[in-house]
Amino acid sequence: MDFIPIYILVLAFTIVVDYFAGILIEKSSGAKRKWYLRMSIVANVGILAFFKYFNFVNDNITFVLKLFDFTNPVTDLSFILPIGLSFHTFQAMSYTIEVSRGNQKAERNFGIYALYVMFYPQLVAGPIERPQNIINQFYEPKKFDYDRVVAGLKIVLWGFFKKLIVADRLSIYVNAVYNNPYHHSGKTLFLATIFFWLQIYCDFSGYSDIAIGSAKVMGYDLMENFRRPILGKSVAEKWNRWHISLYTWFKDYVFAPLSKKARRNKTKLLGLVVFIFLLSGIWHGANWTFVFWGIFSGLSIVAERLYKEKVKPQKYISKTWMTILGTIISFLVCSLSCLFFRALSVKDALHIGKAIATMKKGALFKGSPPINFYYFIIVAILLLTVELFQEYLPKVKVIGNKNVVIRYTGYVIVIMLILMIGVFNGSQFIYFQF
Amino acid sequence: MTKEEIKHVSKFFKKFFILLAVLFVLDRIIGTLLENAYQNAPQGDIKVFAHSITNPAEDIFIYGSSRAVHGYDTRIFTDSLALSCFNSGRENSNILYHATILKEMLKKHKPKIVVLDVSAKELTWRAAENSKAVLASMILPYVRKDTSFANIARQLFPEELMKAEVSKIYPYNSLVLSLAVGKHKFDKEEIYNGYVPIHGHKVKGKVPSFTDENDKTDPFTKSNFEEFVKTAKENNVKLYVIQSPIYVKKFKTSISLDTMKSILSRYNEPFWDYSFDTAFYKRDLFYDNLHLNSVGAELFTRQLASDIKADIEKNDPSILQHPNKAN
Repeated sequence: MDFIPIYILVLAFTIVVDYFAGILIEKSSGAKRKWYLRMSIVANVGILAFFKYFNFVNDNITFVLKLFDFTNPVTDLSFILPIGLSFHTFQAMSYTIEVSRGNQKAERNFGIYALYVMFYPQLVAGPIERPQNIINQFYEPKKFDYDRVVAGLKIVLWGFFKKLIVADRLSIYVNAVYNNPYHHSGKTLFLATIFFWLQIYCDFSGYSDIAIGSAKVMGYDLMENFRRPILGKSVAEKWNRWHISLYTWFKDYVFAPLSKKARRNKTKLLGLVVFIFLLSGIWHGANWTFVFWGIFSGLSIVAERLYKEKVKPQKYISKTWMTILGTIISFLVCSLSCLFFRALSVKDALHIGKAIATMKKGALFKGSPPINFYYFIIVAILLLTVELFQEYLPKVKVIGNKNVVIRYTGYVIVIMLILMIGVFNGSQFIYFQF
Repeated sequence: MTKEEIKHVSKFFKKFFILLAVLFVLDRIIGTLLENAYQNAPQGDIKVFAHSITNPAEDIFIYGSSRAVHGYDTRIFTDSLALSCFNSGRENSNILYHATILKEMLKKHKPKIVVLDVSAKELTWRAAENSKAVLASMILPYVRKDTSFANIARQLFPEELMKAEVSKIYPYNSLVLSLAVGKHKFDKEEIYNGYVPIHGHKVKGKVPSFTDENDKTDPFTKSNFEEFVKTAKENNVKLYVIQSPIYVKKFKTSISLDTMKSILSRYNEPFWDYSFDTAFYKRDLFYDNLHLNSVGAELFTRQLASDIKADIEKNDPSILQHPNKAN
């Protein structure tokens, strides 16, 4: 990660364009209003496409031309992707869309609008905010509120727990296996894939917690971004609880308008679900692995829905078993979809998928030294235990307990655990790259 | 600021300082417990490291990564050369780690022979990064007591040193399980003066290619390799730099290997390459593609000990006389 001052201009461009677009959209009506909105979207998507997808598209054109013995005269551009580009571009777009829908007044104060796009806790990796939720808060006077500050710090502490203890610990195993997938057995690859799903969840939701908690300390409420997705009872529910700000963005601004046209046509609606996940995959990165991840995830939701409609398993299984089996099966499906997310190439992903499906023979890799393997198991169990309590026994609280002794014991345990088994290798948050 | 806000701020800082005080006390108590456990560690990496730098006494010291740990049987060296031997190898380490502990050892003890096992990517930045982390985990517990370790940490990983100075627990980060349960109980390892045999073999399928052989060398790592050679030379310690057998697709050389050979030739020190020696290039002798199993290690160590003996008898027979009393 480098600091390149000139990249501030990218952010400045987005802010200026959307600031004026918002005002023009509000002032105009009819076709003109739509035209201003389209111009703003083209500008935002254009920047995103240029920085994020130019080389990907160009590489694929080169590949296709090569098949016909042609050379591509256009060479790849050499630049680094501005940090958080996908996040603040989407946040900026949600502003102009909401203004055009009449849900948000155009912001006249340039500083406030710039703050909306650049609000630092969530600038680089979300949550992708909506203007209705945050802009008004910038006008409210802030004062030091003990309860609020403490509540914010608790969220931050939990975020650090997820990042330093779970995500960065599991990344040691995942990196060792996924960077060398051809040397590992089916069970090792399977375990690494499960660990990766937990890693990426804790990495990203850990960041979101730190962002939400920091904002809360300063007096701002950001939207919820994760709701214990690993405990979702179905694939669809898991994704509904995952990166909520992105999926509601797609739902509100892409799915909703398109589904109006597809109303009553089930095939089209299901196709739209796959399309939304495909877009989500492309949003994540310019790589075929993300495209496959998106398609796989979308198709798994469609398959789940069709299965539930045709077979109606709830007729044969009790609600409790539906919950248990649904949680476990969807956990495995989502983990396997993340195989595409983590693999370095489609070839690697297919190899890993095949090795898992055929349970390629070999010993279980435990890492070096082998005793460290137990840390992976411990942190995974710790995470699942806490999440199970939060989900099913929300009244049982430790750092949120009213009893001061239990509460302080909770703080101390989390901080001591961070010191004792946290990983302090300075690794970046995975979602910074998006 | 209103009166109410002042009340909130003072309440917050009062509780915050209480929490800090509790954390400070617990950090000291748990840190001290971990420190004691560390000093009395049963065996394994911690014990090997501690022996290498605090009470080294053997005639021969082996340095290297996991390939050294599992590939050089100290008992065979002792049997063949009638010299005591200790294997100071460490998983995931590279020359950065070895150069540091060699210097520390020489402050206390001068062995007769040092054997350094290297890999074809010994000097790459990737290896350096791993080694730095391993070195940090090993020396941070010593930085409060030993200024030379504090200086090494200051030079190589100042941020880690700062954390270790603030928290007494932090130097034992990720060592808690090893210390609490005892590494031997978990790993069921046999350890013979640092040598850890691994049994059986899991080499299956096609012989894979070696990766990263074209990685560029890291200048800092390169200078550490030179420092290692120079230190051994200046202390009149007989040095053997070895590339032990591997079971991957044959390749001629690597950037790291060429660089090391060029440095060694400047110091007139030998480089013995057994990587694709036909005597050992057999699937059954390997645990995995990079590590000899116990059978392979025995065969290889016998050959190496015999070659060293022949070399010493020819060039410096005095080494085989007056062995140290260790073992």
